Amino acid sequence: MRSLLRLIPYLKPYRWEYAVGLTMVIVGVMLAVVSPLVIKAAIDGLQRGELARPLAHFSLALVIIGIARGLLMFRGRFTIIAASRSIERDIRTTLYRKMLRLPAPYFDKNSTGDLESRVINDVEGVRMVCGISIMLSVSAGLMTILSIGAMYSIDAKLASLSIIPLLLISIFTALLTKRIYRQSETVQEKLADITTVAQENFTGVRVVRAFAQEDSETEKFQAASKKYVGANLALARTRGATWGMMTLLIEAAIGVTLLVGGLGILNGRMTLGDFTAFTAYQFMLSWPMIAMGWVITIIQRGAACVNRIGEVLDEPEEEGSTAASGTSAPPRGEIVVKDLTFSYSEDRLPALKNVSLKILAGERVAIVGRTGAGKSSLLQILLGHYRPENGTVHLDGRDVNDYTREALREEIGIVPQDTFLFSDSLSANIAFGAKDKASKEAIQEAVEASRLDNDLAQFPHGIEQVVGERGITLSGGQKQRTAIARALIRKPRILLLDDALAAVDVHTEREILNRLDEHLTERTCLIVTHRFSVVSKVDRVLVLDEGELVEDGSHEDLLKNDGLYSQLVKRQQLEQSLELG
Amino acid sequence: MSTLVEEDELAEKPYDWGLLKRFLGYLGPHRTVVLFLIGIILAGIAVDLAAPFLLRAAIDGPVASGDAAGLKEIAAYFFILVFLSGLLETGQHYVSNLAGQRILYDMRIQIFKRLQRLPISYYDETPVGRLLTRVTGDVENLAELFTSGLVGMLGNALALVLIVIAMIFVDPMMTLLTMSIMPLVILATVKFRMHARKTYRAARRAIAALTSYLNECIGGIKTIQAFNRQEASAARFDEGADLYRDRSILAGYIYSFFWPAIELMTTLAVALVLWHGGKGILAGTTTFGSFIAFWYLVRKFFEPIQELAEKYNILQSAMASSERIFAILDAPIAPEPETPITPAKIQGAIQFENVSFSYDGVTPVLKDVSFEVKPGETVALVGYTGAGKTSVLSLLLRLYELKKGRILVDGVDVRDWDPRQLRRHFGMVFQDVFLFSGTVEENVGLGRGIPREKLDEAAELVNADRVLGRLPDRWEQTLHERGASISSGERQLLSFARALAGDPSVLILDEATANIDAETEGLIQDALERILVKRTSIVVAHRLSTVRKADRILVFHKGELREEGSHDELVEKKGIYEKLHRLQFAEN
Repeated sequence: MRSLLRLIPYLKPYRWEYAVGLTMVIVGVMLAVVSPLVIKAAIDGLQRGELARPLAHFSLALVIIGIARGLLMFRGRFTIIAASRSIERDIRTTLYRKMLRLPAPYFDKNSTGDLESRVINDVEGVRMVCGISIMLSVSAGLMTILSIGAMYSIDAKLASLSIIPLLLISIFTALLTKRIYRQSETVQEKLADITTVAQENFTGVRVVRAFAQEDSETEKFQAASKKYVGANLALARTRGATWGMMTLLIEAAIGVTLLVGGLGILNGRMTLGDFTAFTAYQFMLSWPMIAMGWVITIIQRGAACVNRIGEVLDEPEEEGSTAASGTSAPPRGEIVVKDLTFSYSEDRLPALKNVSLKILAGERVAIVGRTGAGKSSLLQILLGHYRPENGTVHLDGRDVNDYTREALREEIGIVPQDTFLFSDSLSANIAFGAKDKASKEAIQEAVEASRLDNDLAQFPHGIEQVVGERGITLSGGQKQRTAIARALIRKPRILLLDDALAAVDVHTEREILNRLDEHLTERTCLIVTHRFSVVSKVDRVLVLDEGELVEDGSHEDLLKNDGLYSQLVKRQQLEQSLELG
Repeated sequence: MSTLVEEDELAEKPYDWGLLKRFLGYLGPHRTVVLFLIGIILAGIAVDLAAPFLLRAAIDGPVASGDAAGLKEIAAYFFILVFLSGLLETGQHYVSNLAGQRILYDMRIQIFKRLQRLPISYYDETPVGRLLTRVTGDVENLAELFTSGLVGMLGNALALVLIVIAMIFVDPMMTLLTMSIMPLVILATVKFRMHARKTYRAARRAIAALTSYLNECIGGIKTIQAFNRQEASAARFDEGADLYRDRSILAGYIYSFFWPAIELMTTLAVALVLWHGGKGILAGTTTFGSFIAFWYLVRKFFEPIQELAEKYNILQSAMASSERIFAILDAPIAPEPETPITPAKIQGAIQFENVSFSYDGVTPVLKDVSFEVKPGETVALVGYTGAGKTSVLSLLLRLYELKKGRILVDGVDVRDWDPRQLRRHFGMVFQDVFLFSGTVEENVGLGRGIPREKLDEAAELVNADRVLGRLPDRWEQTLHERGASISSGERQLLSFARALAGDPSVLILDEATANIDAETEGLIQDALERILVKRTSIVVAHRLSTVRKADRILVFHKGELREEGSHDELVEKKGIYEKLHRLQFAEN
């Protein structure tokens, strides 16, 4: 529960809304408590046979109180709910901003689904605490106090007697809420079991069919479903008992009033009006008892949600993401790596081992090697997604760790291995890469350089064509070329192509590389590739193998070396001849 | 950065009597429980309505005449009613769940059984997540439809009718007066429903758009960071969050309005009762008892009205779920022969005659492939990626339907076999070993009722006994999440054991390409040595050692069978095989 204190700063800006809303709710509840007294006065008058005022006045009073109360409850309720929606929005946007500042390893560890659930579901859980639970606890609490007070003012003895069943309700609710909670958990577990059986069946459908396992799988599923039914029915028993008990106690309170109140009328201690007002208060009291049960559940759930949100907010952010820690002068493009050993986490083997290399500003270098050789890792480190040991990676003679992330990335353009396009127009996806607002001409230029221009005619809306989620409406090659355009429009000092031409045919690849010559004069360019057709367009080739730099030199020199490089080249020639065959 | 796209694909559907009728069909087998439930509901309402009459009797009788004994008697009846009403409430809740759960159990099993018979191509086209939603979320929605929707609405409607009858019983004139505000109530309810639905849907659309935007951005967070676009992305997110806030506030406005409005109607009705009833009392035409009883009934009258409006929405989302479920139940199942052939033992002679195949009907995967495997022969299929090797195996298992040509097993077209009987004679090792969560024994035995000794035998034959030796609980060891607790090499060995435990006539092996540590690799080689003898085997081979064990090699390329012969012959030929050999096997 303590974790809920974290919410205070978010509630503060809305303190006036809460003050006004709660005041309205409080006055509304007070009015609600007044109306049975009006009925009491009327009935007492009727019983005496002489009314202090015309009967219509009583009815009118009821209606006026009803309208006032309705308006107050409505406005009050709405004001608080609206405030809670605003708080929900504030927390949600704060949380998302925080996520944008978290380092890449955080996203390797946590699944998208989990993070999404925190931003959407958990924030919603918190909103329930700030809205409905605050409102309910105030109105239900006040209503309980006031109705009980009114009952005591009518007849203390009857009040004490008839409150007993109502007290029992809250005790029952408190006791059974726990049990219901536990049983609901079991139901969820059993549902998860069903899901597991079904999921494995669907994923392993080939195994199921190949081994003719349909019947035994169905039996498994039936067994899991039966357990689920059992858990549900156990819950239904408890719930049913709870509801039954509640109904029983609420009506028992009325029974007590009928007996004790009736006897009170007989011996003149009470009037018929008292009796009627009494039953009205008992009606009123029944729902706060139930409401408190909800409030407890909402708060319990909310506390868990606050914790999950807090976990994200407490995560350390990307180092150097604030200007305080380092230089904000953007790099020019000379890269020096000294004895770099890097692994993604402590329990994993290093992705790079003792790598040392130097790339001059303006040089164009290809990085080749088998899958898992550490090529992408090197680029990810240059981009500042992962932090190398101090003193191992330098840009323009300065440790990369000394650059602010912003300055570092300002002059780097990356075309990642998995092209990531947003469901937006092509032009927006390309402009995404620009340092400032991109002009139409700049976009056009980038589109031409990446050879995307020929494809535009295919799209009904040309450059304004909206691509589907993650760009699924585009071919692999189109996606990659869009990503290249995005990187080029940045006009970076350093361009990193991470196997970015794999889905582009060899002819187009050559064209793109030729255009790069025009666009990227004197800019450093690192091209990770599996294709050796690229190497004729680069100054130098680096060969990585199992995290180590094994060869470094021009294409011709390396071929003569007869090492891994020449092996890889020969392999590829073979593959190509098979492709053609 | 993506735009916040709003899609109108929401879990809601207008009423469709066809769907509802079909759903009601599922109630049939459980009619006793359902009828019992209706009985309980009716009894509950009756007991509920008896209370005001007792109140009237008490006030007009003993209280008016000063008869303490009479009052106590009536109070005693009242307590009996109280007890009954508690009991019936419990009963209704439990029995409605009982009926609902039983009906949905039937439905869930039916969907699952159906899915077991749908063609594999259905699974290729439908994401697993969506199938899961059918057997979980959608069925849950229908549970809601039954318990809250149908039962609840039936209860509410019956209650409403009975309350009105009771009111007429007490005082027809006052009933008429109360009914006079009904148009207001109906108006409020209809308006509420309309607006609530519209605003609620608009809010749902906004949150759905925000969620998919979020999903996309978390997926592409490195790209956003790499391009320093955090601020722009946050600003876009703010927009979406603002939209959701504004729309849900509007929806909240409508919701906040409804309850006080109905409360106000109740007050209005009570005021009318007070006014008219009071006049009646003064004139001597109405008794205090009737007056109070009526007042009690008016309060009861508005409860079912409030609830009905809520339940309408539940019904709507359930409609969409039932439609999706029925779509699965109506999907065509994999074709089966009318008079299937099911012999106890097969020889293992396999023939492909001019087989052509395509998954999507456009891109050919196999083109006019013909070959023959004699009983007891071991044949290796070799080829570059995309050559169609695995498709040959899938077709032999009849996981897909042929486009052209025939596949014969023991001279009989596979389409004339009972597919499940046919598959029992095959032992299959998949490239990706799929392990179910469960014990090792369950994974190797696969519910085929194979005795432990047989499993031990199979495990020993394929060196899987080494794997068992490493596991503390041996056969009883539980494996989790796609078998994460054991290495990929060990999984291979277990899947060998799985294939051989059934003593198949034909072994079908899709060799894994995954990197395997040297020691396990040795065990696998050794195992292959033993299992490829004696029985007909078709192996998609990635290892030179495996190829060398084969009697014959079939070389596939781009969907065609291009070369055929022994290793030495094919190397000599300097064709595709020779290149493949250099490419794939040279390193090993």
